[in-house]
Amino acid sequence: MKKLISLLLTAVMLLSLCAFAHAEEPVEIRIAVNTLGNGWPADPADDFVYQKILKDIGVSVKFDLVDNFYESMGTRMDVYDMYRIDVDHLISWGRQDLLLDLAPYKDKELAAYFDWLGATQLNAAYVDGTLYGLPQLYDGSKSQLNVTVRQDWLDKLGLKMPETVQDLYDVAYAFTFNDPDGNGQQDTLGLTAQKPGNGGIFLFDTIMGSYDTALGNYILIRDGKVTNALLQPGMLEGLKWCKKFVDAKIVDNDALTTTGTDKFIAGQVGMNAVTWPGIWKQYGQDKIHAVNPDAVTSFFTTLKSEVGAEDAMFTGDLSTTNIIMAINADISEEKLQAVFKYIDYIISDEGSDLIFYGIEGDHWVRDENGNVKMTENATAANYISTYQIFSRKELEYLKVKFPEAQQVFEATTAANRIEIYNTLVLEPEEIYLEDMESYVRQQLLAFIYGERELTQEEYDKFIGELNDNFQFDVYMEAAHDQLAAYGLVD
Amino acid sequence: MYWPLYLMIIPGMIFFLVYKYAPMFGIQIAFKNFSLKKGISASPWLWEDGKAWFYWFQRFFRSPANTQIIANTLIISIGKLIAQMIPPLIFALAISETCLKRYARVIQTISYLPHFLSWVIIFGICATMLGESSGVVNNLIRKMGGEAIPFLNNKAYIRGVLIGTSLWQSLGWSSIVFLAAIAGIDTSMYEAATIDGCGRFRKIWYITLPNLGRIFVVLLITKVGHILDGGFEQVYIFLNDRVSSTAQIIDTWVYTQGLGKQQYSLTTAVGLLKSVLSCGLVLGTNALARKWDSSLW
Repeated sequence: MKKLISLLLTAVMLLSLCAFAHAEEPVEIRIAVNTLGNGWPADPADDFVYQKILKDIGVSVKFDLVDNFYESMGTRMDVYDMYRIDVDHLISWGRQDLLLDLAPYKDKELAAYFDWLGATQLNAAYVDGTLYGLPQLYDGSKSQLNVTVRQDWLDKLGLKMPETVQDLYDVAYAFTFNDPDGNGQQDTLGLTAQKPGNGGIFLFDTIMGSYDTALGNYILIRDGKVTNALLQPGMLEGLKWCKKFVDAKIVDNDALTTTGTDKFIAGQVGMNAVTWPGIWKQYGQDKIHAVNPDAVTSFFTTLKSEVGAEDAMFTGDLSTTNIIMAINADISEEKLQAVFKYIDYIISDEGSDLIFYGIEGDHWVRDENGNVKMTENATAANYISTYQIFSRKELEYLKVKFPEAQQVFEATTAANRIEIYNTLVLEPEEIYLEDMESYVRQQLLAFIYGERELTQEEYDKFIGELNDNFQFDVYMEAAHDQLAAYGLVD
Repeated sequence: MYWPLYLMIIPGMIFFLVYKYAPMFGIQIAFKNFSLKKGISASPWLWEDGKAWFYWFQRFFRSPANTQIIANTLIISIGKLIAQMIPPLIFALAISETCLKRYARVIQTISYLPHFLSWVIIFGICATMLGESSGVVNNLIRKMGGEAIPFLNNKAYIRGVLIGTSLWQSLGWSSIVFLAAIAGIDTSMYEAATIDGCGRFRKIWYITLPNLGRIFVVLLITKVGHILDGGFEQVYIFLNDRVSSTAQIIDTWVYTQGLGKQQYSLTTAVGLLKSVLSCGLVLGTNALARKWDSSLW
C-alpha cells in the first residue's frame, strides 16, 4: 500500500513538473498603490483589463493595495517592482538609493514615454540631479476648483453671478440675510467649502486668489523672481476681505473642520467651493434634487483680479496631489523589461483606450465623428482608473466619462492658475518646515478670525517672527538657489 | 507543585518577549542615521557620520514648537487624567447607592456604550452637535438669542472639548473598577455604621472612600505612565489649523514630522525619550504612594 502511494505521489509530482515546463509563465510585475479604483475585482479572472494586457503583451500586471502605505512600505519595499508615491517620498527614498536611477533608459526604453509626457513636469522627477521618477501627465486640469452656486437663489433675489470679491460678498450677504429659500427664517449661509487638505484652505482660496496669493507657505515665481505667497503685495488686502466675510457671519466656519458639501446639498448654504465638481454629475444632481426639486446649480471659477494680474485660481496642484511612479532599485532585468513593455503599451492608442474607457464595443463605442461614447455597461469599468498610473489627458477623458459636467471641466481647465514650486525646493537641514507651515496657517487664520490685529505693522511683525524663529529668510534663499539651478529663474 | 501555573504563564511570556521586548532592538536607530536600504543594523551610528549621539534629541528640543507642544501635552493629559479618575468615582458611588437596582443596571450599560465608539465616530457626533454654523447646540443657543460658540474651531475651547469628549467616552467604562471595589467592601462595616447612627453620606465618607483609596492609587500609577501620550488618535482627528497652537501634542507632532517625512530616527528618539520619562513618572508615583502604604509593588 505504502509503495502504491509513494508511486502515485511521484507520478503526480512528475506530471506537475511537466505542466510547469510547458506553460509559458508570464512575467509578473507588482505595483504598490495606496488606493484602488471603485469596484476593484478581487480575482484577476474578472479583471478584463488585466486579461487583455496579459494577452497582448504577455505581462501579468498586479496592483496591490497597501494599507497605511508609507508606514508599511518601510518593511515591504522589496516585495514590489513599482511604487505609486508622492514627491516627498520620491526624495527620501531616492536619497536612500531605494529607487532605480532611470537615466540609462531615458533615451532608449523610456524614450517613447518621455516623448508622450512632454517637458511640463520633468523637473519634479529628479532628486539631487538623478532621475528617479516617472511623473504623471500634467495638462493643467488636475484640480477643478470651482464655486458651485445656487442659481435659483440668485434669480430669486435678483442677483448676478459674482465677478469680483465685492460681488461675492454681496451675494453671500444676501444668501444669509435675505431668506433665499423663502421659509421666513434666517437659517441659511452664504459660502461653505470642502475641508482644508491637499494644500489649500478652500473657504478663502477664491478670495485670496483674486489677490494673486494663497493662505500658506507657497513658493511662487513673479517677474522672474522667486517669491512667496506670504510676501505677495495683495496679501494684506486679501486677508482683510476674508476677515470682512467672517465678521459679517456669512461664511460657514465649520468648513475648516468638516466638508460643507452636505450643507450645500441640503439647501443650508448657497455657495460651495470644491476641487471636484461631483455635484454636477448625475448622482450629485439627483441628491440635490431629492432635497430641493427646484434647485438649479451653476458655478464660477475665479474672481476678477484686484491686483492687476490675471484672474487666478489657487489649487495647490504641484505639491501634495502630485503622484509619481518609481521603480525598485533591485528589480531584475527581466521584470524591468516587462515594466517598460507595460509603459509602452498603456501610452499607445490601443492601450490608453483600454485603461481609460475599457473594452471597445462593450464599455464604449466610437460614434460617427470618431468620438468615444460610453455605453450603459460603462460602470463595470469604473475600477480601471487604477491602471492609469501616469494619469491621463484629463479634459478629453472627463468629457467622455462625465459629459454632464463638461462645462465645469472646460472652465476650470481654462482658468489661470497660481503655479507653486514648493516640491522643487528642499529645505536646508536646520529648518523645521512642517512647524513653520503649521505656524503660518495658524497665524493667517488668527488674522482672519480677529485673534490677531490685522494691520501692516502686525503683519510685518509676523514675517519677522518667521525669520527669527523659523529662518524663513534662509528658506527663501535656498528656494531661489534651487529654482535657479533648475533654470526657472536667473 | 505549581508547574501547571508556570506552564500557563509561558504564552504570556512569549507574547511579551515577541511583541514588547524583541522590538526594543530597534531602539538603536534613535542613535543612528537610519536608512531603509541599509536596515537597522547596518545603518551608521550618528558619531560615525560626524554627529553628536544626541543629535535627534537635540533636533526635537530645538524645534521652535517644542515648548508649546510639551505644554499642550501635559495640560491635555492632566486634564484627561482628572476627568478619567474623579467623575467615574462619583458615578460609581451614585450607581452603588441607587436603590432601584434595575434602573442602575440600565444606566450602567448605557454609560459603557461610548467606550466602544472609535474617535472618528465620536468626532462625527461632535461635529453634528457642536458645529458652529449648524450644530445642534449652537442652533439652540441662537434660538435663545445667544451667539454661536466655535467649540471645535477655537483654541480657547478645544482643550475643553478634548477633555470633555474623553470623559464622555470613558465615564462608564472607568467606573467598572470602582464598582467592583465597592462590591468588595465588607458589608458588616456598613451594618455597624448604621447601628452607630451613620447616615448615607457619613458611610460614603468614612467607609467607601477610604476603602477605594488603594484601587485609586493603583489606577493613578498606571495612568501617570501615559501622561506624555495625550491620546494621539483623538487629538489627531480633532486637530485643525485654528486650534493647533493649543492642541498639538508630542505624538501628533511626531506623526507629521517623523512618519509623514520618513524621519524614523527622530520618531524613535522622541518615543524613547517619552518612554524613559514615563517610566520615571511611574516609579516616582509608586515611591510616593509607598509613603501611604498603598504602592503597586
